[in-house]
Amino acid sequence: MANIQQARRLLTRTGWLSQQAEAFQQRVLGSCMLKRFNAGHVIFSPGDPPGGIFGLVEGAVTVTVAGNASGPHLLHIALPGSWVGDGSFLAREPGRIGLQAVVETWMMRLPFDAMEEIVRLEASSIERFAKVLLASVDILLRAYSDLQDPDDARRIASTLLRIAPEPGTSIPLTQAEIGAMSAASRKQVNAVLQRFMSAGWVKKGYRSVTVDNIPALWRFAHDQAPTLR
Amino acid sequence: MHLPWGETPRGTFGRRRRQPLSRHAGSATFLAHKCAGLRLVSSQEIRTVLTRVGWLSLQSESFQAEVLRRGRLVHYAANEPLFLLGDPPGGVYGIVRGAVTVMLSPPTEIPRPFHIGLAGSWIGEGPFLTGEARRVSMYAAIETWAVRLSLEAMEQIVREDPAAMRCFIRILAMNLDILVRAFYDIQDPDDERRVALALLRLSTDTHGSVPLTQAVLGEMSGVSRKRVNAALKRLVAGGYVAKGYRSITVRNASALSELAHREEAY
Repeated sequence: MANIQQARRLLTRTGWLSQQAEAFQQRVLGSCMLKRFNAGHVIFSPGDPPGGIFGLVEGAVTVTVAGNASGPHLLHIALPGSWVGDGSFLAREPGRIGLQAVVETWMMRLPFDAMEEIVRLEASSIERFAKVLLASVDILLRAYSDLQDPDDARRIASTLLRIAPEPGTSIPLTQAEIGAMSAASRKQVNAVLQRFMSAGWVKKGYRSVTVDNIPALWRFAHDQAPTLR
Repeated sequence: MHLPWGETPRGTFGRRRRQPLSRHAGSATFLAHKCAGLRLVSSQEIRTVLTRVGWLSLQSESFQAEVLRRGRLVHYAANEPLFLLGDPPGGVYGIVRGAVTVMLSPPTEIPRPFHIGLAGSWIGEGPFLTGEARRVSMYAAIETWAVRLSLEAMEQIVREDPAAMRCFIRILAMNLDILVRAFYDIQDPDDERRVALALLRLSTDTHGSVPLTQAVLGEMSGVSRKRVNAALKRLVAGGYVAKGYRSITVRNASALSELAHREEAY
């Protein structure tokens, strides 16, 4: 369970808000509410009216887009320190993405009205909020580029690296979900994770994977000649 | 090559003459020029294209006029870079005629094509919002004319009307939509569907023809050259697309979309 002091400490130490001016940080945190979401709780869905932004304090949320008949499509999983919003706060349009808690999750929520008020007080704040979207651009550019790699094992390694912010972080994703994010089948993910485990780079848990050796996995993902053949 | 007022065009092809157009109200700063053997890009064409499709067409008339008044027409030969990853901050580009390829260059890796911007596309908003260097590279895919709105011009517009900031942020939101779609498309496990999805993403209602080699299409859909060849052959045989010299034209977008979104592999 997270408390408001922990939330403030974490979000001023890492992620988007920590890179903003102190006065802005205080204004944002002063308007945030700490909220708890149960595992599986749908925080918002594509098409919802404009909402605010969320700073993740504890737990994990999946970011999805409306998919075809097979249901929502997994884009990313956000871990503590990340801020997520769907851009609707800038465009003032219904949102395009969905957000769902994977495990019990605590987030600081900055409501849409509070964002509007912060921008009204200081017009340049909108540039700061736009940077939340730019962070999504960076993640998606990287994700797309990762998926252009024709090698299954390297794609899976890149996906794990994209999600894990630091060694020892548990990623609460099933093998099928890791597969969806790396354009690989569950079977391929299973085989590749076995190899990574034997090398001591990752650990598998129940519906989760932990990356222990980021540099080794990074070298594997980026080397033209894979070392695990 | 940038061609603001007063600069002499230099180029890799043909003789070119710079020739001011008759000035349309509100677009006096545009330089119109003529290239030997090429059609003229008129202020009228610029206005028609950019206010009919893409981001600028969705903005208010007064904002459109302000952007067109402050923008400059720039010209690039095929393969010429508009900007490169790591370049110092610069403005946005609205494509008037031609096409640009956006390249991603992750650290230590070979740059890979990510997107092709056709007429009406606006690209390059990142530095205005972050003050940071370019995150992607952009090249002219073919000979291209674009309107460049410099950082200074964007800042001036926002100084005069702070609400204009939201208009510029809209470029980011629209490009984010493309990215989301691209990532979604490339997650499809079926090679041939990925090729169809990439073609649908790149072509637009107004521009079915995309300047695209098979190699680039392969990279953009994460498919090997050989398999792109096979997939394209089937798409051509089915009447969905037509192949030209270094270009692919979507002939029947709705049928292609149906094919691409079919649950089973085709």
